[in-house]
Amino acid sequence: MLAVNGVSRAFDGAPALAPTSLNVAAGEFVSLVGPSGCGKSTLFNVISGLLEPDAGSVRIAGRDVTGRPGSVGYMLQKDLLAPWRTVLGNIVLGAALTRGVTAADRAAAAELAERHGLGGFLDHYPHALSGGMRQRVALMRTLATGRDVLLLDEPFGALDAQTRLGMHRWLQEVRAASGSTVLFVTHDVDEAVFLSDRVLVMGPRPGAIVDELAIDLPRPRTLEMATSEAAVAAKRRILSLLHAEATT
Amino acid sequence: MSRSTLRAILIPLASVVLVFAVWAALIRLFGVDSFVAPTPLEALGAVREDWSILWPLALQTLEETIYGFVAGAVLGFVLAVGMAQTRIVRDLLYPVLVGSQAVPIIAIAAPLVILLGFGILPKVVIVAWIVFFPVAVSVLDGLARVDPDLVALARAMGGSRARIFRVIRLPATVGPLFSGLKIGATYAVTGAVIGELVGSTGSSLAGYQRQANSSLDTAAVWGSTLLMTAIGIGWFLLVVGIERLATPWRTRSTRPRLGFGASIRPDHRPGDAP
Amino acid sequence: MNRTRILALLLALAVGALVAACGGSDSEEAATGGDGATSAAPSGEPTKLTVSYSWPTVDFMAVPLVVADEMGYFAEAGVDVELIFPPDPASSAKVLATGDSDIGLITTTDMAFAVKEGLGITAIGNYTTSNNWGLFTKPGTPIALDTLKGKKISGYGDSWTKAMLPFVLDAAGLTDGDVEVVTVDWDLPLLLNGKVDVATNTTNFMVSGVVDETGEQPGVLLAKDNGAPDVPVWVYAVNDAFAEGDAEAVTAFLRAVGEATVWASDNPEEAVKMFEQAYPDNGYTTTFNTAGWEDTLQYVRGADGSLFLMDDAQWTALAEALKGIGELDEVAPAAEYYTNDFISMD
Repeated sequence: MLAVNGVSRAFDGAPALAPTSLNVAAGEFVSLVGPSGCGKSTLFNVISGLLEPDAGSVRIAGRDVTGRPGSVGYMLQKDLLAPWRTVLGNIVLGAALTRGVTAADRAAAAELAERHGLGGFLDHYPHALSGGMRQRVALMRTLATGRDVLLLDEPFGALDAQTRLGMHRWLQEVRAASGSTVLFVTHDVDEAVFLSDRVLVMGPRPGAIVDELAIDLPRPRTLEMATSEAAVAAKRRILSLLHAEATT
Repeated sequence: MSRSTLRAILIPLASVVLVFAVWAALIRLFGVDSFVAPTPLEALGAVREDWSILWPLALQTLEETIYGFVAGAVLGFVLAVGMAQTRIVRDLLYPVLVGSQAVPIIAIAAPLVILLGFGILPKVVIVAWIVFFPVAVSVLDGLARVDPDLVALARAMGGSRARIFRVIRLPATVGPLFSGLKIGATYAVTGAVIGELVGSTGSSLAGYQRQANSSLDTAAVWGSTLLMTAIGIGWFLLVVGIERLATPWRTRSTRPRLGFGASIRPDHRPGDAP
Repeated sequence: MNRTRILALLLALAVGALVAACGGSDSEEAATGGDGATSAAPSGEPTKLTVSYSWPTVDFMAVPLVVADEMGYFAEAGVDVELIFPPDPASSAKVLATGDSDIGLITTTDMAFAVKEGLGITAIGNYTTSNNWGLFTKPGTPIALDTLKGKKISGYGDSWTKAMLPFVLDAAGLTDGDVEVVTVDWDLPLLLNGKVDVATNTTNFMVSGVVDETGEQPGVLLAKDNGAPDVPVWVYAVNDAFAEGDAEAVTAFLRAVGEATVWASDNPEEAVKMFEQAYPDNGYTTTFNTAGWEDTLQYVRGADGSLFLMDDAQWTALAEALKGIGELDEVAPAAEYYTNDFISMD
């Protein structure tokens, strides 16, 4: 579904991203973990089309979208909700930005929000919502763009641990319903293991993928699975990779 | 009436009473003759006595203020948006903007009357001159402060430059716009009065005051000053009221079902919905 | 005069300090022994008089006061005059009423309203003895009663203009609706730029202004010859409380100003020169000052050649005019406006 081939990028001569390749299959949930400054953001900006790579290409469903924004759904740690728009207005932002909002957009957005527990808040302004709720709205907004591939850049990084657990379960549900392909960036190894089908580990700057790890846990995943032997083993393996990279 | 509404009305009212009380006390304490400075009651009495004369004059001043205010707001807004597009235009115009406010209004007022005559036009220009600056600066500031991540997100969503401007940047200026308008609102009436003072056809609030001054009617001079102040405060409150309606997200947790705020939802365009 | 006055003040302080050092008893005797009688006597200590001007800034109308000071008439009369300026034109009567000044140059309308408001001041002598207010057009444009219809006329929005203009319009057979009256702050540029057709002012300021700017004479329509009452524009007035305490000083002041006015009318150019030396930064050109003073001179003497003398008729006529426009509720007895008691007849 998503194919990144030999993408690299330097800023003012300093390499920010070494040639990187990765593939995400349709409907797959892949996490990227790595130290700060490993080039994850640069990679995401390239995939989203905001940044032109120095070399390499990005393809979605076989189509070359290198340097072309608007091909993937994109979500950041900051919810970036427009304060003057209601929950509904924020969810349909993608349509407003591309072709103008139609009644059908609004109905679809309302239906989506209702299905995922935001039904009572459609007319609320973002400032009236909790951090977790705001991130839910941000994800709905990303989903509502109708893109098959979602890039989620530490979306729960700013939430407290308890809220985050709830968000993990909720994200699973949402994705199960939408069938989206997800590329997910996180610092939280537990989170990566719990959510992903596959975890890619990146090395320190200039960054490249040093290893990958399949998480063989059935879905839907439960809290018990998070502490299962397979999960703990995966976590140990990822942590040791990160440590090894950090000390070399 | 809720407790908070009651508070919102009573406390400003109390501050008005306080100002009047201090004023009256000072007059009494220092034994100031009423031809030098009247008591608040004398000043208010003068307003009441001449109310039939003052009322139309106050409306006229308000009219000058409104036209000038709207013209200044539009000018300031358009200028800010234009300046935000290119750095060179902004760097070129910013000193002009600042310079325009360093000019004493009284110095431009007389030439304006000579150029534009004795009608409403020079007053409108003076008020606009005063109002456009805080609006332009606030909007410019607001445009510069739009979260670059939000703009990046909008780009990633496939938004064109024009659409991002309309959907993200422009609505983000509404808050700063009102900050500028509120600053302009208090000065706007002063501008209209200065314009009236320099030249008017027939009577004006400033003319009334000048004549009251020339006939040693100090109470009427202070009374008309109170009236001008009241117009200024009233205008400010009106702007605050419009702000509350136009930016419901600042004061409310949900979108109003009816009214101004409901109809200006940024995503609602004619032809959108059945 | 500023510099002179500062010097005089320093000198006075120095003398005062000396006197105090040499023995307080002498000076005490001088101050208390005289008790009014000596205050105006040329031999004793001069009486301090604070005189307020009719305008916030100085102009040629201060010529008699400057001459009286420079020629020593004040000193001879036993008064030491300090000239002060009101914060705005309409405050000249208030400054006098509060006692900030003892004597003041004010307009006759100020005086009329002062009686209405009970300010406690009284006119003691005409500065000008007839009405030199009128309507003006720019040079080359003739003006007459039958040319006023449809014209744009500027005024200062003051009571004088409001009271006098209807008389002229009436004489022309016009009403308010036949002309456009605009209120302005400074009429000369508007008149010369053609933004108004007719300006209203007094001759001494308007004629001199136009002559100064263009070198030509404006068209003049004197109000007193065209329906308006012949009432003077400016008077000297006194604070009643001060007059009660020191009548001699008031009389002495008027006598000295009278002598100065006569001298300045015999020697107008020297008088203006004296004025400009006393106020080198007065802000006007010599042309303006000379033209202004010479015009003023045409109005300082009454029909009988006298200075200062007022009569009931001028005050009654003015008060009637102000009553006519609703600015006064009643015309007070003429004696409440003025007194000729301080004019010495020698």
